[in-house]
Amino acid sequence: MFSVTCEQHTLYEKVQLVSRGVSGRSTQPIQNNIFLQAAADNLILVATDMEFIGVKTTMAVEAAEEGTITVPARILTDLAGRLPPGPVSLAADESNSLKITGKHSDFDIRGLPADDFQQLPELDDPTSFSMTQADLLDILDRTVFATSTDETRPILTGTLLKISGKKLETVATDTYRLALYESLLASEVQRDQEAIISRRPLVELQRILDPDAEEEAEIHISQNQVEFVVGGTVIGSRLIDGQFVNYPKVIPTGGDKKITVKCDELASALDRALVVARQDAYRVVLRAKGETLTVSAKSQDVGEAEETLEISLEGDEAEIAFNAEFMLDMLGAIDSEELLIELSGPLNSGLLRPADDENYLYVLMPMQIM
Amino acid sequence: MSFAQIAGHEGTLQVLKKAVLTGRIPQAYLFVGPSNVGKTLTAVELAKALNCETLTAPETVDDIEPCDQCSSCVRIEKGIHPDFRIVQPLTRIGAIDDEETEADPVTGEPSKKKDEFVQMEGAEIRISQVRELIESASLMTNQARRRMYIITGAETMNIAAANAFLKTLEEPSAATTFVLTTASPNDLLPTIVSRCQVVNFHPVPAAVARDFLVSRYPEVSAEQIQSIVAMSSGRIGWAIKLLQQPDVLQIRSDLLDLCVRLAAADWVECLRGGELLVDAAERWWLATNEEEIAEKALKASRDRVLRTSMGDILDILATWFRDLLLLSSDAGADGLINMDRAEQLRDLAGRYDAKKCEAACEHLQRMHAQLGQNANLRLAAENLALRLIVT
Repeated sequence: MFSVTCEQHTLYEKVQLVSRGVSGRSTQPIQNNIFLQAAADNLILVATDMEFIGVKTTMAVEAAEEGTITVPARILTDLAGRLPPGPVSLAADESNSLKITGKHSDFDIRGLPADDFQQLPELDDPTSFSMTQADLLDILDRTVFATSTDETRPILTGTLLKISGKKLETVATDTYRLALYESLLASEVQRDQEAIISRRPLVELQRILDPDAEEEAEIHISQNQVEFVVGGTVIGSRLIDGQFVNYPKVIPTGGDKKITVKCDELASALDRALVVARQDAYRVVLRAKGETLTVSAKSQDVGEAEETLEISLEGDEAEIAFNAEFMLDMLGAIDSEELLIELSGPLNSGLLRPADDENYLYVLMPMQIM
Repeated sequence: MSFAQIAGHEGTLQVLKKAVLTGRIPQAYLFVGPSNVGKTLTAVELAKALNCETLTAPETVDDIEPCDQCSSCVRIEKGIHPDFRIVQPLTRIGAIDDEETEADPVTGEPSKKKDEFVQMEGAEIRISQVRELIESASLMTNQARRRMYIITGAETMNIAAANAFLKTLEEPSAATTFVLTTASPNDLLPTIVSRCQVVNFHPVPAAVARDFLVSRYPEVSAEQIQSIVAMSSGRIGWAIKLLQQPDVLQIRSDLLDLCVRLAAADWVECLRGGELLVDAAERWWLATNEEEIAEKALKASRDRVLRTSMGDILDILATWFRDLLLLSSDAGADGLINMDRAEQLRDLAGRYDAKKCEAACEHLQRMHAQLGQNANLRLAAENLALRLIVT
């Protein structure tokens, strides 16, 4: 039962990949294990905490005997990484221990029988679509960072994917800021669908997406699950239950003061101002007048900072305070040359968007000007 | 397991089964009753019945019985069902491993030492456990018809944890039920209690408990079962724990032997008795807890562990003097707890009058109090032994 031979570096890579599905705090010891299945000429590896994330991947091996076993993820990763390059053979016996044999190494790792291992659940009648890995990565990079980390409001820790027809809206917010990205799918989906996806699977997905890959990423969303399939690897998660915030309501309209500024200049100005602003809740004050924008920060303990930038301004003079980190998060997610900031008053939220991209917008709540 | 195999609680089970039958399950139950009467056990069966794959169209209350065969039942029983979870009060017994912290192979960050937790005196439901629960409950269910979270010892939730939990408890996502269990509902926040449907569990009547145990443990003598049932005062789970662990019975028997010896002991013997008590507390802990965890906890915080189990030891001693008191007051031998030792008790009854028995019980109680007041365990035990001799 269960016997395969494979290359050390592929094994390590795959084991590392699936071990991300282990939460380490699972109340059920077996879910801290990686499930291994030898089938035909494949080794299937699965790890899941049964809730937030499940990872499944496949690698080509020489399978001498088909079978299954589970072993602790931590131990297997540790060991696979330390074995010398070259062929490694894995074999399980009746007593549920996994024999790992390398060039000069011989290990016997205690495992658990695979019967009790919870597999990734099957999706029931999902809505499916696909897009290039580059596009998916772009969507995630521009939105997921804006999710909340406050687990007492679970809805906000998730990112909303809303698909209607060919349109995909991706939204994330922590109530201080909101990121919304609209994209078009290649073809219409069978059925409109909304899904709130927690952060963990998305972060793992960002890690494995390859913007240069030709193979597309598939997305399957059912009533209670989501599954992303990227080049032989499946990342699944249960959806967050509940109603997402009514986000169209918070998107400001009628910002009559429009500032256009160079992204890189603004980013480096903010970065410097942060040295001071960090001590004052990341607060920076933006003042636009004529063709200049001053970015200033003040802190009782540290001192004061002022940066001047060249801009073009449409409308009256404007003044507003923002969280500099939040602005930098957004600037880091776009690669446009110019940023458009639309403001109406110092107490109204501001709208930030790349000057050359209508589809992405970022709403920022103002801070009190001190 | 199944409902039919739960001893006692007939009325309570009827109420719960009816709720299953009509499908009117509240979002939260509060099971109130003494510890070890079967609250958690019942909650587990309820979870199974609500999700059993073969129990899809029950017609009467009597049909409500989980099959124990389908994968849902089996997974719940094993505690590996993705929509089922038990949260228990835990005490941190420290990071056990002395290994140096090394970088986590996955994230590259230095891994934190893994804290180990066990259940013992002073354990509480920590805010981190509640946060995990809230997060988990925010997800859609996986495969369950009704997801269930069981929270035992709910009164040990501290105020911050309880407050964080309120909103989720009041409006969990669809198809979710929380079962909170507690032995002291007055220690719960009223805001928690008011969000739950309260279900009362009473001590299992002695006759019911006896019949149940006799049929389940035919290898144990009826007399021994009788005394264990009497000792358990309706906490059937506690009685089962005793019966499943032969060590436990041995410890009890050693303790009762000590009581006999103490009746005619000298001072040296008494000091040895003190040692024996502390030793019994340690054996008791090891016998009544899962081996690996018990040993770790003992290593990490020995004193605390011994204080926890010394309470049980004192309870056993108390039954002895209670029996003596009963005999000395001519009440007859029918109500004896330690029925299997009736002869020895009768022999000794002449040497202990009612006053001495009362004094002994008082000393035991005082020691109980001292356990919580940081008294030196060994000294307190020796002191106790000295005071229990007939002088």
